Amino acid sequence: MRIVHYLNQFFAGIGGEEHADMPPGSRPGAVGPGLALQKLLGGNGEIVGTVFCGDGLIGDRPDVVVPDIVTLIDAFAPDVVVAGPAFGAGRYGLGCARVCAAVGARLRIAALAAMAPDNVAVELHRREIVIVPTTATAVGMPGALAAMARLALRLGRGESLGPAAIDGYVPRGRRMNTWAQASASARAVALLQARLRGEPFSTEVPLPRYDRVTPPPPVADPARMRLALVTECGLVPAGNPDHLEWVRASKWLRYGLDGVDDLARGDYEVAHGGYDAAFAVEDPDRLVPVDAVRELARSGEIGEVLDAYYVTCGNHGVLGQMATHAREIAADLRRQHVDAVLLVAT
Amino acid sequence: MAKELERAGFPTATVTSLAAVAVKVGANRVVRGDRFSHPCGRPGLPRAEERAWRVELVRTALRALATRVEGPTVFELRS
Amino acid sequence: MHLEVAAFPVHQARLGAPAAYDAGALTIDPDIVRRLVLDDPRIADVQLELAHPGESVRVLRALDAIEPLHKPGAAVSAFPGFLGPPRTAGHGLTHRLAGFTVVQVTDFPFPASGVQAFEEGVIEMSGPGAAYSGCADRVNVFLVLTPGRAVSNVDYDDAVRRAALRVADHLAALTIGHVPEHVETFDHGGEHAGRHRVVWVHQVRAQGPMVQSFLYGEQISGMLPTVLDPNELLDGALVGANYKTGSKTPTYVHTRHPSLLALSARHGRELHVAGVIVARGHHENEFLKERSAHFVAKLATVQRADGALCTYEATGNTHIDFMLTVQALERAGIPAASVVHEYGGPLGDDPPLVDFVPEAITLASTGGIDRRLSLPAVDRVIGGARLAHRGEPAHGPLDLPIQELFAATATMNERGALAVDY
Repeated sequence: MRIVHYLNQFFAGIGGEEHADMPPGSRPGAVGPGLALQKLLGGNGEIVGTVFCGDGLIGDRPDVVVPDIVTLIDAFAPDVVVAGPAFGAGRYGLGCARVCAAVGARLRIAALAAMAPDNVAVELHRREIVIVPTTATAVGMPGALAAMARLALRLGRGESLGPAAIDGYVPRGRRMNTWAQASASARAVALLQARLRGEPFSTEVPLPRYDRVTPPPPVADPARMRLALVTECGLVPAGNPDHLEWVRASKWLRYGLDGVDDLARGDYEVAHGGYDAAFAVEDPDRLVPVDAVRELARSGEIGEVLDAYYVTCGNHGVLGQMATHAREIAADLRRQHVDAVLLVAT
Repeated sequence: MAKELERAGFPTATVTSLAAVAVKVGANRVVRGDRFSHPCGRPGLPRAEERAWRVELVRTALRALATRVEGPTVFELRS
Repeated sequence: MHLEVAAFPVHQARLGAPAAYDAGALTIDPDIVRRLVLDDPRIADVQLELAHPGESVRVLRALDAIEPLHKPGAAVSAFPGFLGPPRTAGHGLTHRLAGFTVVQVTDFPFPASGVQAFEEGVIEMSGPGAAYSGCADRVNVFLVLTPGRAVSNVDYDDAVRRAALRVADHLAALTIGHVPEHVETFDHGGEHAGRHRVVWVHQVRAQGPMVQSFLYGEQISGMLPTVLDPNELLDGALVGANYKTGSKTPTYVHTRHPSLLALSARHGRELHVAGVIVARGHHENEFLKERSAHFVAKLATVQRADGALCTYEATGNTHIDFMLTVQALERAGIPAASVVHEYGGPLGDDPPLVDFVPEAITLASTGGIDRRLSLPAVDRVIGGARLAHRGEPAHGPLDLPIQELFAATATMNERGALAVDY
């Protein structure tokens, strides 16, 4: 098996920060930590070449530099590429990650990078590439190299990897179903007992972190704005003519409000399986407040109301898909010079 | 949905019965509505009063849209 | 409370006469069943179908599934409040037809929308869906019903539930005079003697008609959280009537819940079971969700719980009720370990949880419910030619998310499904 190793200028033995802008270069065989890595690979794999670049340069000009690095790597005709270990070094980690991503995309060769789990490059790239977790500093070099050797050989053989916790890589953002011996309840009891005894325990579902969005600046004067109504509550014209699904909606829809001052009972129904629709059917303004916005438009407190409303169904929505719907609706709103949105959510 | 609309630059007032959830998820301008099955309604009130309440709800949304916020903020109806 | 549950396993069922249970073989007399069911004019007709594990059978429009229980000669009945007066059950002797269920299959007579609309939960007796499907690992009799003179869907639902319970009672009573395969003893008394006291928080769906649970014969929409002895559930105090796809908990799970079995097995050894707190979910607004969550934490405190095992039924905004409950418990100083089902989309790359609290640090997973399954064509379909909520033909191959299988989340808990990071 042919392996190419990517390093920064420091681990390649060129020098320190003063050489951070060093352009890409390569050398046959193993260099620096690659020598120890080669020993761990034994006769199962050969580091046929080492490619290196300055951390600063690849950080500042990746668009120029990464293609050159890929070309140098390609010249060695590897079966698998390994990069790092970068430990906690952010620029080096980013460099390793970008190289691995490019190798995968352009050369269609397996690649892995090694760095500490909280390296800035991890959150940005873990979905695209395989990352082997290491300690924060080079103190953990032997363990890092052993892990790199193990996974490089498997990836080079074309093996698909098993669960992250078992095969030793940073989770790449996919969760797949498998089977345990005990029921989830029994496993929960075991976790509880470990907690009550003060023993270490491992939750099976790590909690997500929600990202923040910078609030858009406020509307300067509502009396001059064009307002659009959007709802996730699944309110559709009676008969649901466009078949909005009431779970896992695959679409969003736009319905006209031209000449409509008040949503009338009987004209609308609810395509949402998660709540009692009776109140909304009786007066659909309880889901999309058309009567109220019309009144405020007449009184001059709202400049103008868009003559249509947008609807999807937020019941069991696939989150990625709902975000796509929102982006498409936003594009539509922009085309119609809408200034602000009143969103009624479930 | 609110965050994607905000990401696209639209000040968005999110009317919901689950204001705490909207805040946690990160919607920036949240207006507390009534119950889950009628966030913009109060079926217990006589028609005219319910309509007046709904107008106040939308006024609260206007206030939210016109207010500078630093992060997720809940706007309550003024009684 | 001291309860003995005598297990009479069913390996084979057939239609015939006389009705009998004999060493794992159950003979069901269709005439008796018809008489029991049609005693109620709200049901016009019943046809019986049987299915065994591994058969190429798909079942649609299944409502609840009940494992038959009977308390011979007792002052209190199994399924109290339905088969007898609403007196405290969970003591004495109960006969159980183990590994067998009675299932109602029917359309509702009147149109319904929103949360009251039936959502299909397909039973797959074989193939790749069977591992995730309720009823697939047991012998089942399906009561395929035709509505009669019911005045509303709620009225018909009441008839259908009572009919199935009458049939279940009759079948379980066939074991009287026979020797059980084994007898389990359930007794959660005794001194806790320094063992950790653990409550089981059992959040169930009770939003209204068609998404309901019954406790001692009465629906629990308006119920504040309450405390039961685990034995009461074993005797059928809690009956499921939630007709939403894979996230429903059928009665046969309420009467043999993996949480109850896991805790009970450890009672008197590693821990002390300090009761079951039953609460409803899907409260209509945050005020009511918060009120219920804190009530659960208060009851757990009154039960002097050191820890809580928490499970919940269904999806949608009930995740919020559940997480607020976990938060209230943790903040009351009662560590909570919870069983959660995950989302994640068809590929598993969407966020797994719809709602969570920072305190939810001890979670067991039952796996991702929106991964998709390719189900093959089947030899026999019970309950209609097309799926109820989407209209696809039912005989042929189907592409479904796991959550459209009957009682999928409860089944995934029982069978040990979980999701892991890749």
